[in-house]
Amino acid sequence: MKQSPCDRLDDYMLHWLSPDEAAEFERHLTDCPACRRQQALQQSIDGLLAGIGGSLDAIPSGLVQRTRYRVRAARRRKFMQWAFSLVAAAAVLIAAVIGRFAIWSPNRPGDRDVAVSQNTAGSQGNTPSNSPLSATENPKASTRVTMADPSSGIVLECKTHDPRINIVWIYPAVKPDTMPGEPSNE
Amino acid sequence: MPRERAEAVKDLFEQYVPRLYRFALRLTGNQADAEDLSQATLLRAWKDRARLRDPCAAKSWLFAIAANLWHSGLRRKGREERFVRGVEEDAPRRVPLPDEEIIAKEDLLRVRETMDALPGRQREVLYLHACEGFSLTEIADILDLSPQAVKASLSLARKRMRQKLQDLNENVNFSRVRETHRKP
Repeated sequence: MKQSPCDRLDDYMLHWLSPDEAAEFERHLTDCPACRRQQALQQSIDGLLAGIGGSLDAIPSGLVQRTRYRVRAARRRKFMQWAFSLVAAAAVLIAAVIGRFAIWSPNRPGDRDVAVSQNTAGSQGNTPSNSPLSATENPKASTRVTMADPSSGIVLECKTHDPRINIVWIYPAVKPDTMPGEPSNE
Repeated sequence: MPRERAEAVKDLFEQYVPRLYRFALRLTGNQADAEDLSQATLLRAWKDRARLRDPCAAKSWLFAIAANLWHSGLRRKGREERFVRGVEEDAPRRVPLPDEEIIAKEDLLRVRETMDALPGRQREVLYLHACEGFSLTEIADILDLSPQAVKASLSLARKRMRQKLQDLNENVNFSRVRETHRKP
């Protein structure tokens, strides 16, 4: 469907036509009173539209101040969130450092409490089931060994380079049949 | 961002508050939403200020933020865009104005009402072009449309305005005095 020349009024008024097309429409304009009326009407409308912004839509009083206040409040909130996050991260870091030092301390209570387990080496000649060697296989486990009779064994604690690992040598004590100074039965 | 530049950006943004408000009024149709939208626009602009490379592009950038906030808000709420005209008119009372001034103001009101009655996209395109002076390319960037779509919307809007305001120029010789009452 061929476009009517009158349909190009807006293209002409908005300068969307090429120079040749614009010249052709101007020739049409001289012969078309309807287009001339529409052109005059559009010019009036355009003039009124240009004046709408400044004259009719009154800006609420204090709008700029309220907007400025809201932006500042948002900036303050953002700063407080950032500061809080920083303090929280620092607290976590400090707690981690303190905890790490606590783990590394060589003087943990209970480390010196080394003894033979219920399967004592001195009484039955058996290797204690809770051998100190077993602790090295599981360094995180703290093995506590008790001696039912402290005189049944000689305990030697050997510290290692790793403070989490202690090696304990337990020498079974050999008790003589007679004590020195007592007459023998022979 | 250095403090001086931050202050300059803040001043640049604040000078557009009235114009943003008027555009927001075209989008929302009521003063409360328009104020919220213009403030939200400034907040977003301040947050993303690092993206503004050229201060000369601040105006179109701010308008684009406003349009995007409004349309994305509509999409989020899943509601149709309903334009409710809730702006209270000024009430010229008691002092009779010269006829030409009355007619001129009435024409202005009619044109504004006719524009506000256009479909959403046409209204936005017409306002940005005729009232704010943006080019087709700028309007396309602001509203995230193709230049062809902007051109089509603008043509349709102008045609529709002429259809509704055919008798506009005929009121020049017709004089009357009328009070405008505030809406309850």
